[in-house]
Amino acid sequence: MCEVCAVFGIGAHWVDAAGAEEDALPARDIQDHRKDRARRLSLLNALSAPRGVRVSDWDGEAYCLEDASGRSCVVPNLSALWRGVESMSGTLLDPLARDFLPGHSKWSGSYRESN
Amino acid sequence: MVRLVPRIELNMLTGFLGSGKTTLLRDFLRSQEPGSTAVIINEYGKVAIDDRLATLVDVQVSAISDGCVCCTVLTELRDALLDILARRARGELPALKRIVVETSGLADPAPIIATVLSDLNLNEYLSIGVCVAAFDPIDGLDYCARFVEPERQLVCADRAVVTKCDLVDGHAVSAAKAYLQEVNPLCEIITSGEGNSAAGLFAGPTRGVALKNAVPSAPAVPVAHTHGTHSFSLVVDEAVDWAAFSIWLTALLSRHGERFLRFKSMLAVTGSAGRLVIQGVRHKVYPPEHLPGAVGDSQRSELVFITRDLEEDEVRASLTSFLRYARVGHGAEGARLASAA
Repeated sequence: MCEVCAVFGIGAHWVDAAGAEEDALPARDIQDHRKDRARRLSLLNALSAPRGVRVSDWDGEAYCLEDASGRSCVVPNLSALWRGVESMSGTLLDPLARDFLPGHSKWSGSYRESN
Repeated sequence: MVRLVPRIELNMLTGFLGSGKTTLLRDFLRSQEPGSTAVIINEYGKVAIDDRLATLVDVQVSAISDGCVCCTVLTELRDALLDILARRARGELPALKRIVVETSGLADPAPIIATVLSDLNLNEYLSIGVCVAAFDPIDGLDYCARFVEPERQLVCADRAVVTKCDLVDGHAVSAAKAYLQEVNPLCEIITSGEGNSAAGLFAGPTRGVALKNAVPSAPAVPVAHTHGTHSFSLVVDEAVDWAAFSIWLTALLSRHGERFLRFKSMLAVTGSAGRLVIQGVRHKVYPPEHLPGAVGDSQRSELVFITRDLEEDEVRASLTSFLRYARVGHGAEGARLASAA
């Protein structure tokens, strides 16, 4: 945690903990961690951008959400991110709903109707 | 990263009123080295067990976030745990191997897990160990039909112990085991007095066991006596993209966590040898465990869910579509959005 960035009390989230094997070298860990986060951000933005919210990295631990009007907020982890996107976009994000994925007709199977 | 101080295991002992929890705990403590186990009992009116360390805790809950029961923090329990850790650090307690929390007969174990996982200090010094549920074969089935609390306790269990086997015939024990298997196919079922059951009550972890055959391949059918609960398993015949899977699971639990009573998955992850075990109770997910080395078919991932009012087909379609999208559909569009973010 960095005292300058004002992100307090963030512990290792289970999503990040899954990447770190105990015998991994620290440098390798960092590289893998950054690569994982970049991949995750890419996917997250594919889901949030159509809803008007962009997600960026915040200090390698948290996420920063921003909408077109310039509003922004920082969420501590991936679990908290979804409620943040919902709050900023005014939409519900339901992975079981038909319209969760961009271009959903190409990927969807038997989904429930959208909320 | 190397830990200088190993975490103390926090085990839970749950079960409905009169299910035999205290007898199990007493037998367990008698089988252990004195001073190796701290016990927290979360209700008033109980007496300390033997001469071992026991703390009586009144359940005071304060809601956090959206007030979901599995996200409540038991403030008195947290204080009791921190007190034990502080006393141990000051040398006032011996080097504990474990802490056991005996829940009250009506308590839901999920907030105990939430209390540890949500607190930075507790999370640093404790690890969630094995949750044991006591089940009374005399009245247990009747209680499960009439009340929702026993079922909530049973789905959290890693191990279920059928107690009072000396008071019933073999049919009652078999019926109890069949019920437990239906309600929670993820737990190991033993009978009290069986083999080394007292000393091994919290032995584990049991969560590393293969999930194969945990749930029959037949379509999931709600079990008699249950309250809309059923279980199902999903198999993915390929290594899973961790970034995609973690996004899918967190989004799913954010929206539907209260209906995922329990889940456990053993994943083959792209670019990683061995398996990754992920399990959780409702919104809360335990720290993942790496199982080194290849286990069986290294490209096969298995997931088992115990849900309430949630259809298997919906979850299956959602997971397969999301993984397919992440693999072939995301591509340049996602990269463009990421670079712009």
